[in-house]
Amino acid sequence: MTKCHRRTIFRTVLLFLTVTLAAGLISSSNCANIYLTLNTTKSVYGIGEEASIWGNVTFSAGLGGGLIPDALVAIEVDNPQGIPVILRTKTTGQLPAASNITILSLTPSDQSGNPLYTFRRGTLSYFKASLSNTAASRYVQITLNIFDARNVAYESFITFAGLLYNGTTTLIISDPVPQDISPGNATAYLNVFTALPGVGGYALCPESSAVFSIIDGSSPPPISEEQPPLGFYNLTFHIDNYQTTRMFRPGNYSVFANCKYQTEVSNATGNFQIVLTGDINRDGIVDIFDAILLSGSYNAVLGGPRWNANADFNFDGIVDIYDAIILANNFGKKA
Amino acid sequence: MQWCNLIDEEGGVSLKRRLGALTLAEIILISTLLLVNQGGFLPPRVEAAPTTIQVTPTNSTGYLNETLYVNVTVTDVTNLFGWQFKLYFLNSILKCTSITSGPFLTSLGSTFDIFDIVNDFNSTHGRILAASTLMGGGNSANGTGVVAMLQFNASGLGLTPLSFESTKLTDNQSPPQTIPHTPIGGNAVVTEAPVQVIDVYTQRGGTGGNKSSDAFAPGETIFFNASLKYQGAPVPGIIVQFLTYDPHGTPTARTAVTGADGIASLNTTLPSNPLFGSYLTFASANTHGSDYNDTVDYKVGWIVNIIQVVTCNCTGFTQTQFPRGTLAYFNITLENLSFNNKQLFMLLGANDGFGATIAQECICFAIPYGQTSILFGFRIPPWTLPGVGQAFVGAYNNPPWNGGIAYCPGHYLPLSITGG
Repeated sequence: MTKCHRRTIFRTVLLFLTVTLAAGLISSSNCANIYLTLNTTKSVYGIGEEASIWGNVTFSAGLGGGLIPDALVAIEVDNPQGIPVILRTKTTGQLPAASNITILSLTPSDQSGNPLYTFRRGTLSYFKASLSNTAASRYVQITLNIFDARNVAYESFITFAGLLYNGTTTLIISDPVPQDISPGNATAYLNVFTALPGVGGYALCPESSAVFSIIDGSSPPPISEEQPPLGFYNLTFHIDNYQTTRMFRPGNYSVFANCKYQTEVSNATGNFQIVLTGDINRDGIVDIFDAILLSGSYNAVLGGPRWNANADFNFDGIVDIYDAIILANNFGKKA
Repeated sequence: MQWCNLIDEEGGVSLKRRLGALTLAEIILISTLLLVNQGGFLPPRVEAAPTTIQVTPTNSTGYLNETLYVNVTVTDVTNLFGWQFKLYFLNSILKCTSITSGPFLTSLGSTFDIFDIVNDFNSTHGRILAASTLMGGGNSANGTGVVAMLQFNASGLGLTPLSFESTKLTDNQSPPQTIPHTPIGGNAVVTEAPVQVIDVYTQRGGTGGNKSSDAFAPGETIFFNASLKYQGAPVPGIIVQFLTYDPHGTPTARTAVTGADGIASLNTTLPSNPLFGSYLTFASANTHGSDYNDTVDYKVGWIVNIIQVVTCNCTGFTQTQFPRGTLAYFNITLENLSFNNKQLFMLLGANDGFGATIAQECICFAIPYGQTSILFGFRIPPWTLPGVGQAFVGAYNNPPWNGGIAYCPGHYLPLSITGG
């Protein structure tokens, strides 16, 4: 690697760390030989915001401490009810060496498995997945996680749990398309875990994705996820609490990330909070009580005597007119 | 002694040498400590059963030119994460053909294995080197279990010791710690196979003495053959009695006469609703003044059968009511009676109380012999009308819309959907 390359990577990493300065390192618990970190860009997100989970995987100091560019990180985000809303596998830049289990294909389909790329809201969508296991049969959990055109997760569940036998296994999975999600290009992700990351499971292969179209209504612009530097992983999703799915309800969310690299396993856990923007007293509704609290903290600065962090909706360290406008725009909303 | 020499060749130290290395003072000290302990000066201890690595069965027998199976078992162990052994045998008696990891570690996760079979390790002995460790920092094994399964070809008559050397058991500490243990070898005896004068089998196997045939489904025809040979020559014109016992032990007798090839044949077609279970057919004949007999056993049933379907949550706990918009799971137990893998296309469908489809899922894989349990889930659409719907699980050899045929009757069960 040339000096120039190293400098570029260093700058990129520095930039990445800088833009996520507001984030808190959640926590990490690691084995002796590799080290997984887990961060979120913020510790509190409002409904309608973009959330990012990121981190890196490195060798331990004893092994040189270098970034591992081809690790798989299994990520689970649980909502306040303990229901997984995100189940994904991210790489730290490059695909790892071929594993015994691979997802050969994931294709949106009709109920017989014939390719079909367009579904209407309020109908059933289908996905045909083919998986290969070149080794002895082993227990797996196969999950499906679907994001709509605004990158809001509207589906996340274990579709199959059992032994994946040697050879090829084909699944056809049905899933209802909620009536109130955003139309446009949605993306389904199929993952294969030893168990859910929240109970210590790790990914057995890279995830597979399939793009399909949800029609019936106007589409928002497509979402693109920023590619992190090698050795890092990044997962970005939009937070919205659709009435039909109600997956992103306000409350405390748990994040689990597990990485198995060669024979080494490392995991990290943490949490973040989703709040109803404007809901200063956290009672699930933006109302006059919140307005009174905001007025009580009006013009208060970070660390000052009347400071109320819950009223600083834009996180600029002062409760001012911008926060009042945000409250006004959300007035009357319920969790 | 030949065996001591072998160990020394491997770089080990014989017990004799070890004892010889102790000084008189050390021996007196050890003896004193042992006496003190017996005298009750040390607190009494509850001794755990000693850990062993042993050949199982300790004494195995096989017939010449047939396969002989031997396991290596670790007993009464705590936190077993990896193991290693060398096993020596007389190569004039046995030839090792394969070694595979046993379920004791593989049931806990992936393992990294090193297997090396050298049948001509020296002029007299063959040697197996086997080592295996779990990968990752996960569970370790406790108790007793099979760590390796060995397969030999019985190539010569006689007895061979199966003797361990360099056995190692380790735990999952960092660094791994050795688990103290005792290696217990075994013996294998190879004898001449008994002369099989009569051999009964079906079109799906069972040749050889008292062997099993593959299974049969309702409506299928079973072709029985009984081959009668005396000193290798076919014996024609002999009456062979076939006595078939059904799963209740009720016998059915039939006879057939051997042809020029020495084979007596008959067939029977199973009814559409036969008694399911294990059948045993006993064939007997008298030739050259002696009675001879053989058996073949086989199962009758749906070749692939849906044993049980239970509605549950994602962790497998039974759940009978599902609010719309939530996940419903089916815990499905299947059984393949055939010795061979069968291509299975399993269809799971669900309708609401008004007949509208609320889910249709499929899984296609090669199901192996024995029972298989899978958990299959789907989301009940939020627009589903509450009420009692119906779920269906069917097992086919191919998708039914591509001409697939059902292996067995489908399972229908109620699906209670509540407002969510």
